[in-house]
Amino acid sequence: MRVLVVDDSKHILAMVREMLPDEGYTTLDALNGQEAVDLLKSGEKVDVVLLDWNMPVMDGPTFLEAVRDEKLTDAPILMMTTENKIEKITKAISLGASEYIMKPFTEDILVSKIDFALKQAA
Amino acid sequence: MENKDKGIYKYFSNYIFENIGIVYEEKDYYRLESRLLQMCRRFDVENIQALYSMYLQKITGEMHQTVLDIATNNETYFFRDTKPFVALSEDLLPRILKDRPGSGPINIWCGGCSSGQEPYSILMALSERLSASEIERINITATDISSEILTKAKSGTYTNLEIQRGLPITHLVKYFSDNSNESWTVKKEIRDRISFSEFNLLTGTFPRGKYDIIFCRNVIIYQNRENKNKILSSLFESLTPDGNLFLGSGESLIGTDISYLQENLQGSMTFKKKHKQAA
Ligand SMILES: C[S@@+](CC[C@H](N)C(=O)[O-])C[C@H]1O[C@@H](n2cnc3c(N)ncnc32)[C@H](O)[C@@H]1O
Ligand SMILES: [Mg+2]
Repeated sequence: MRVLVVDDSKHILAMVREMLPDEGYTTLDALNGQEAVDLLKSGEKVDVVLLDWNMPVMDGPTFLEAVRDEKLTDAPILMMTTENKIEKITKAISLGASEYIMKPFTEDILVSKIDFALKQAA
Repeated sequence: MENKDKGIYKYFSNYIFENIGIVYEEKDYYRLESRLLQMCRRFDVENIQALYSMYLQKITGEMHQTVLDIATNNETYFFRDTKPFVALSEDLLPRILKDRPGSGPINIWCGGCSSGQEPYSILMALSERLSASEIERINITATDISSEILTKAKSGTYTNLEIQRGLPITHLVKYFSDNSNESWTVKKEIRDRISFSEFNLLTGTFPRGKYDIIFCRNVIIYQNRENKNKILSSLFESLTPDGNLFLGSGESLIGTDISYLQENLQGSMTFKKKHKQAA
């Protein structure tokens, strides 16, 4: 499975790569929404997207809008953020996010949330 | 381990066995140790020897309850194993509602409910499927032996980590309110539909023929064979003639002397009473 991880923190990118089991998962990194848009437009295929909220250049919600408006991917998108207030969560869902991972999270939560989002999408 | 310490562990493991039926064998004494140390901190006594002397003097109600609180494993999460909740909401409940139209109650018992994730999951799963008037008919009783864990269950308040274990985000938004401090509370209208109370499955008096559905999952695994038999027979007595029992995903009635029927509902095993055939 190919996971697009969109986060401006190199530390988080490395941690997600570390947490996902070697077997069955590969990651593709983007440091902001714009990089992720460019990757998808260049034809990169991904099965799932993990998306930070606060990033320079293009933030998470703007990326969700771009995906929706330009139909960039059908992959389920999971927010992965410290923006954990109910208003933010509701907004992300309305923009098309299918799950929500609150930072800090554990390996179990990461893997089971991805799993759940994929099952819902199937 | 010194012999005099062994005596202490034996004392507490006996106390636990007699009151809850949970077995701590000698090989489990290291687990017991960490729990006894927890008790030392709670009562602010220096060490396990001092704790033991305290118990030998007089066991107050609080001291009794504390043993029950620390001896139990409370591991749980929302929608544990998923399938039982699908079986319940998509198969069993619609069938019961069809067979029993009207407004009579449908009784569900969650025995060994720990911090409440299981009964709340049941109610959320049903709320997704049933109409408001159908939900009105559902009574959920949730019990546990530990008063401490029941206090948490009743509060319906969970940390960010707890709500991320098994709970779909859409359910969080719909059924919880945000406390704005990295914690969430089940909405009052959901909490109010569940009645929580203390009940020891080993020594309690079971209501007869009352429950349409019983969940008793990951509770009896810690019991010896004799106690398992006793608890399961009592649970069966508490079922309606057509009632269904859900056990944990690794649990079964094999090795007990209960006659039962087993049914696979949407990938989840349920157990029913076997009725004697009329001659
Ligand atoms: C591992 S938890 C399981 C919680 C939930 N049923 C689940 O499957 O996620 C087991 C619970 O059973 C309770 N328990 C253990 N022995 C019991 C007894 N004799 N009577 C009532 N509850 C008991 C414990 O306090 C604990 O909360
Ligand atoms: Mg960021």
